[in-house]
Amino acid sequence: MEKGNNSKKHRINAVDVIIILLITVVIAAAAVIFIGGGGIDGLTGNQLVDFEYVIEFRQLREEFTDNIVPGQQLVDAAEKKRLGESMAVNISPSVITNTDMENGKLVYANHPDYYDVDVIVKAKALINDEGEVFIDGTYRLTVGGLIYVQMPNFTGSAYCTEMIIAEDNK
Amino acid sequence: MTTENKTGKRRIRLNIIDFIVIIILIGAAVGIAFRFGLVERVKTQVSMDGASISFLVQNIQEASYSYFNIGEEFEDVTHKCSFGTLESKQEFPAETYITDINGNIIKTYVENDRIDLRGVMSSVGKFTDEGFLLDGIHFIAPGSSINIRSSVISVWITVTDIVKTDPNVSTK
Repeated sequence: MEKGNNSKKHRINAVDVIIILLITVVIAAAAVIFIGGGGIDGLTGNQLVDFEYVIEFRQLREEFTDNIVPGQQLVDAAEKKRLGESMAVNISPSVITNTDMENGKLVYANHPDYYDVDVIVKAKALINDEGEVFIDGTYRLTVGGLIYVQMPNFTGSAYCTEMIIAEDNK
Repeated sequence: MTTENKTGKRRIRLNIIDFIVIIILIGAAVGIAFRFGLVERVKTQVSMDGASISFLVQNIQEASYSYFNIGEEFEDVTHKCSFGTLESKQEFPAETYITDINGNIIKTYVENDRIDLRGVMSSVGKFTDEGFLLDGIHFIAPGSSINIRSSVISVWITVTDIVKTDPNVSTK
């Protein structure tokens, strides 16, 4: 790095070049992981639109049903992505399909202790050309998809049962 | 980089590459600290809250009840931290459901030495707008399923309630 006559000259040798390349690669990788990588194909615009969807918690014990209330922020427990805010909650007994052995007919029996809880969630979403929905621009939502939900006073898994897209967003 | 001066002594001189490497290493250390919650841990552990965590264990052997010792500390195996100290416990007949001949669901109880256990654990954490953070870091809430263990028993519990007891408990 320094000449024999002690004159200061910054010369870059092969090791320095390798270090610089390694640092560049690490920075680029970090940028892709933390900033990029969330691109959505076929996006028509970058506008988040108002969006509502319904999730259903199935067969909850009665003691949990009061913990799910409107006005709470929902977060995806797996990736900590925002899922929106609960707008309305509907609680109904879980219905189990059984057979009446006496006459061989199907019976839709209410479970004595377990309840299904439907939650209408309001969020901002991106909708691409294929109609795919990304809550808050990042969380891919599909009907039938299982969501691990965190709320301040409850956590559990729920299925998305309905997506409500306003006419002007279709 | 190491160089020699006129008297032959070796001196350490930093060039621009060394400087960049040092900056990157510092940045990496800071990034790791944030990534693994070390900063949050330091910030929250100065002002934690006391909490009573109620829980339910379903359908365990009746003999297991005596292994839940009041006053014993339990470790949270799921989150690898302390879970708390057992304050109280109660046993109930293990609930189960059967279907009658007409397809109705009827609640009944297992009579074959099986029980449900409900207990309350005295714990420490942080109450935030997002919910309760056990040990100041790990989100838990009613509905959480957690593996805990003491010196004599390991079991899966379901958290049923979390109540703040003492605000600003000092820890460690």
